[in-house]
Amino acid sequence: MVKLKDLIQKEPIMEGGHRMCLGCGAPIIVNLILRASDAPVVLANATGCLEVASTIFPYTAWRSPWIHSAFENAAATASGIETMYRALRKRGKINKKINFVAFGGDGGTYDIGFQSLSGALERGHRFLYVCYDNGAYMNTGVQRSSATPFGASTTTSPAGVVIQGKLQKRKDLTKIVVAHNIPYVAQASPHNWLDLAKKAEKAFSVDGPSFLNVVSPCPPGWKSEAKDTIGLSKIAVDTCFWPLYEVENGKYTINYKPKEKLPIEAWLKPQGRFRHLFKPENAELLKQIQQDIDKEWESLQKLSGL
Amino acid sequence: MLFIRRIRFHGRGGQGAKVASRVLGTTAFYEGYYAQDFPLYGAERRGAPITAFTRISNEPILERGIISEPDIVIVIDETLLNDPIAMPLSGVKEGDVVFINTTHQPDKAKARYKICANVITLDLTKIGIDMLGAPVLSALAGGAAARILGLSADSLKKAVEKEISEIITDRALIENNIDAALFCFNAISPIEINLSPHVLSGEETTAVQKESPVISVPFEPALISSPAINAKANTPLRKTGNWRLFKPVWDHEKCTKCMMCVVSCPDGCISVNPAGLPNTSYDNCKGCLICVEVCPSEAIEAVREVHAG
Repeated sequence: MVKLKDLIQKEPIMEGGHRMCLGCGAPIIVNLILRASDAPVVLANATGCLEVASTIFPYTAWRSPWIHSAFENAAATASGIETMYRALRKRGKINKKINFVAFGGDGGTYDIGFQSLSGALERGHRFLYVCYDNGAYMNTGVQRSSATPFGASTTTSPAGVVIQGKLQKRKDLTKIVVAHNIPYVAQASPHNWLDLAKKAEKAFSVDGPSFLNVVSPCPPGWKSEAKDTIGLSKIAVDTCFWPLYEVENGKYTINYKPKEKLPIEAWLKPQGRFRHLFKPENAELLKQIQQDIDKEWESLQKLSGL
Repeated sequence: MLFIRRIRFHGRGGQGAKVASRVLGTTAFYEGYYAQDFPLYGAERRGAPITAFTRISNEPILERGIISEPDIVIVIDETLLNDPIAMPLSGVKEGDVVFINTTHQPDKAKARYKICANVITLDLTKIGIDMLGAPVLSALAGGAAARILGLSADSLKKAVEKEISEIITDRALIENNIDAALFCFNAISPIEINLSPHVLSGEETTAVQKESPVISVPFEPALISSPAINAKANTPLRKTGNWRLFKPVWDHEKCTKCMMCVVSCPDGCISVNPAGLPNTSYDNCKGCLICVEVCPSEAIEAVREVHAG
């Protein structure tokens, strides 16, 4: 059982002095997950903000071994490390437990790294893949990805006269990962440290692949305030835009049910990327977004047997 | 006679140095000058030092590349003056103008940072917070620069309107940016810039250009292009604490030791002292103020960072 008191005694694996933006959600997520590890960690990182801003040569923010090879192969890199570990263990050269973690943003996970992720999950390597989902290619200047929510304005789906932000709905990656029938899959949020740390602990305890999809507010990309990062991830959960749930060996459990489900406007309003949706002529779009969320929330409740 | 001015802006990502250089270029363009502007930044993001450049001239500008010998330097973030990588004062000569966003008076800033050039100061950050509600200083720095160059308020107004409405659509905010730019424009006096003679002659300009190649891309061995860093968490050596505009200050009397601030810090710099009370390392705290927001007992206060003393 994780205790906050124990977690904070550990030094952060990702140290300060990195050049992630003011108020970035990703390092909060990374440090919470790694502090919950029961063993030393070896990390693989897909190309993205977290990779670029944590290792500006000759500096590194990482207290643990860390490898970056390319955008599309964080999961394959982690697979290779884990295979080597097994080989060394067999030969008696390593005896202790080591946890393997791959980090990727939504670009490196939903889109570019998807093939290698799917392969690594199917091969059954014992590793945890963490996607910090900020909903666009933030590192290169906010281009839409398949995780970008419907209606969000990005530089490649700009809201204006012709379109009202992204025209397509997001890919439901968490459920796609569930379809790989791996032991542990969960969705989490940095505002709920206990839930996130528990999920990380469970993920590290399974003998096989595990996957965490964590919502990660991005102040420059979401056009939100740096100080609101934790608040916004809470609202994402309270509106059911980002439900907290886990799937253990195929069994769905909803970990948090908002007492009162907030209307989606509460989440959209503080973000500049959705500002255009509040024009009177876009009322229909807002309604559509709410309907989609209601539908998904209902289907999730059914899956968890409620 | 050839008239050319080279202006270099230094700021941090997100503060508006790049747009300030555009606002100035566009103002000069409306005034009938040729103008050129461009930013320079690496694989870093919001908060990291960036440089932007504007050249204006009464003849087509054939010079390219970064400005290593500026006539005017606009320092939007005072903390950069001590930054060994940004080096805003490099290439500054006697007779040039250095504008600094600071709470200091010009003579004090001149002495404190040992600047040989003319120094003009204005607290842009305060004006930004008061007039725009946020320290986004593009229009303000552009306004100050336009005044230093002796450009007109009318052209500035048009330029801010054009450049800011390319970024934001909120009409009221655009108006506020115009007001803030004009406020800064009127808050400082234009200044006579005594250029060194070689800058004024066309041929010498070409010579300067030949001496400073635009960008050289040397051959790099594989070890450099795919490097290994054999160190453990050495980024704290790069102090990101000077990104701060506000700093969190703890009132331990009110602290309930809930530790929400510790787990919510993106920079991992809040730690717990032997008495079980949280504190931050100001060396690396970027001042995102998430801790102030998440604290349930309001034990953390945001205090404006000023570099007085």
